[in-house]
Amino acid sequence: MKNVFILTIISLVAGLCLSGVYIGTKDQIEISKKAAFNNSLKVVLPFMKDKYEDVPPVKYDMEEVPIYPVVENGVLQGAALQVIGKNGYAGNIKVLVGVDKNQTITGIQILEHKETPGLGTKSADEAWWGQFKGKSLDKFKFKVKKDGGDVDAITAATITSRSVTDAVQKGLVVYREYAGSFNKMGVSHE
Amino acid sequence: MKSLVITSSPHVRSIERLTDVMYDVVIAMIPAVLVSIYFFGLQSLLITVTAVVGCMAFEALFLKIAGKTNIRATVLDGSAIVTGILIALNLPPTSPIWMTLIGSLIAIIVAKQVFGGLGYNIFNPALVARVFLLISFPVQMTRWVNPSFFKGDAITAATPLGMLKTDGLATVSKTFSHLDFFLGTIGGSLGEVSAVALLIGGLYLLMRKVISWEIPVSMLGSLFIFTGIFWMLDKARYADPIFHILTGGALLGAFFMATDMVTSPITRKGMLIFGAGIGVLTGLIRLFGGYPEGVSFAILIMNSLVPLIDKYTEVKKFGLVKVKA
Amino acid sequence: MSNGNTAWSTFADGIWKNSPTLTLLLGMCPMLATSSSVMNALGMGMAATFVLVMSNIFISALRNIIPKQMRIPCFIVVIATFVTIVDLVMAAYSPGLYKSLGIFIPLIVVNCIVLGRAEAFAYKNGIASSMLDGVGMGIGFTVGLFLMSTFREILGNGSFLNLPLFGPSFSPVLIMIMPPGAFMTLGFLIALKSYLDKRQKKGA
Repeated sequence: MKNVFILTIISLVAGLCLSGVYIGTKDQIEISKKAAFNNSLKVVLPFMKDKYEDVPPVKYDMEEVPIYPVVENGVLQGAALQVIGKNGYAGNIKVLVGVDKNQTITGIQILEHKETPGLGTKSADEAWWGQFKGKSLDKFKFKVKKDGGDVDAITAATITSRSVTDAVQKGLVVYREYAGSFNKMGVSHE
Repeated sequence: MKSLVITSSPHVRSIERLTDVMYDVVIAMIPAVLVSIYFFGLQSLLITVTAVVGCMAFEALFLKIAGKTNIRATVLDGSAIVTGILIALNLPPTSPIWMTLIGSLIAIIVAKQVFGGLGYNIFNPALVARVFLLISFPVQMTRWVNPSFFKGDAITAATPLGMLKTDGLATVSKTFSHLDFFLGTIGGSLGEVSAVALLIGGLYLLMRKVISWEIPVSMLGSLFIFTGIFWMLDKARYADPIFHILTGGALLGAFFMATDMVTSPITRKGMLIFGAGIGVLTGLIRLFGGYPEGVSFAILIMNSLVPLIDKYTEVKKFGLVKVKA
Repeated sequence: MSNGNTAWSTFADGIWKNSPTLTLLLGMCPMLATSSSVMNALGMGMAATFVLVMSNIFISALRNIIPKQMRIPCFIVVIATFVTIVDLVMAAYSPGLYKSLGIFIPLIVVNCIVLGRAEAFAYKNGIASSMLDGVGMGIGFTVGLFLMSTFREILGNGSFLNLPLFGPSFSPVLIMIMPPGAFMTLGFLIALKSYLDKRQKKGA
């Protein structure tokens, strides 16, 4: 009985301490998370001034694609889209794709991946993804060269390159649809 | 019976004919080496010499550091030479010298001497080196060139299996014929291009009774059956079984690496199981895995199961089995 | 003087002679998993050192209250508390490191070094020497991680603390920053340590 009592006391004190630390760090954790995401956003959307619209994800082909549109004076300037590249070398690759109002790519960031260190991870370097900058669906074939497209695959990481390329293309397609509906209905926060 | 202590495997095998056996294996590899020189030129000779010298030097160095006394005899027992040639046969013709040397270092020190030297290694040293290099330097390890003899200058090319993985079966059948695989006029590592040279070496080993038929036959047979089943199911998508046997490292593995007596089972039944396992794993990796070629992975995986196979296929000694009442 | 001597050896033992990872072979899982870059290794080492020191102090302080039969649950509660604190603080102030260490921070709870020192040392010794033991062991763990990650990052990525060391023509030995490289490096480090120990013994 006494033993259980002591364990209870220790657990109680520990719990109290932890709730204190939790409350103390909660806001900072939120801020850090937001800052990290905002940094990625700034890379893919260099033209973004300070804020993006908070809108629900777009449905596309059984998927929900989170979208972060930038709107100035009621005109859509572009958007960042969080798309999933399927069939990477090790699972899916989460990519943030930035698109401007001319429907060309302004930047990409790899948010999450499990690719091979030193090979597939090169997809996160601008030296590789820089080739997408300023490209649009009508003038650029979003396929690696091996598959008859215009994308230079990373040496020895064709599968990763293919997956990221698919994701970037998907981002452009989803943006085109979103821009179409935006022009009809304006920004919708629903 | 109590006085006999059974230790955990791997067990020391007979080494009476060790040096003879090793030099027989070297002789058997000569056709493959000659063919590679014929196709890829002096570069291939350079790789072979580097690998052999590297293996012997690293072995001497390790034995010296470890304070062993019989350095000369061990280095000259032929096993380092065999490992060296096998490493060379597993490398692409464009391998830089430093990469060949790293391969020799890994094979001799990590795969062989750390486990206790010849007879104690669990994994085939040359294959450990190949897999280490393949994972570490995928760019250099997959830079193939076409043999220069038939098609003019050596140009970069994909191996048939690599092409199958990235471009599909149709491209492969357009580019190569079965005769190409048989003669070796294809891209590939030094020792995987020419099926006919490997077959000559393999037959020599079989005739000299250095290797027995069980492992090659069960390995190639199971690979044939496994890939054959998928070929029958969808001929447009899967390559035929002959293709799978003639390309990649299947023949090299079947005759020269799976049969390594240190890392394969002792009993006939064990060898059949071992070979069949390699064949099926190779098929699985080639058809469904991330790498185009799976022979080396398959052999290493089965190497690790050898103690288990030996345990369950142990021949019952006379008088040990109880007569059923 | 003799007291100072034992305090010193309590502290110094863990750093090299009884190095937790290279001699006692404890804490292998984080050692293998987080040593692919020096940055991660130092982050892991510091997080574990903090937990080790704090839990050693508290367990030592509570050693007369904690009943013998219930000691393991009590230890775990104390350890888990500090691990959670590290987890939260790291998430708040060092999100980059937090992201790359991921699951291995919460897993410090089951790191055998922490529980092992609580059981073998802090439960039997005073607060001051328990703290010293925690610091020593923590540094020892960090040193092990540092050695291993230096080796792996230089060979496997051609860099040290993310600074590239070689020109672009250097092709890194990729396997070294993958799991097989971790096992090989650990094996060779342990061999090196016992080789040095043996030589020292012979010399003495």
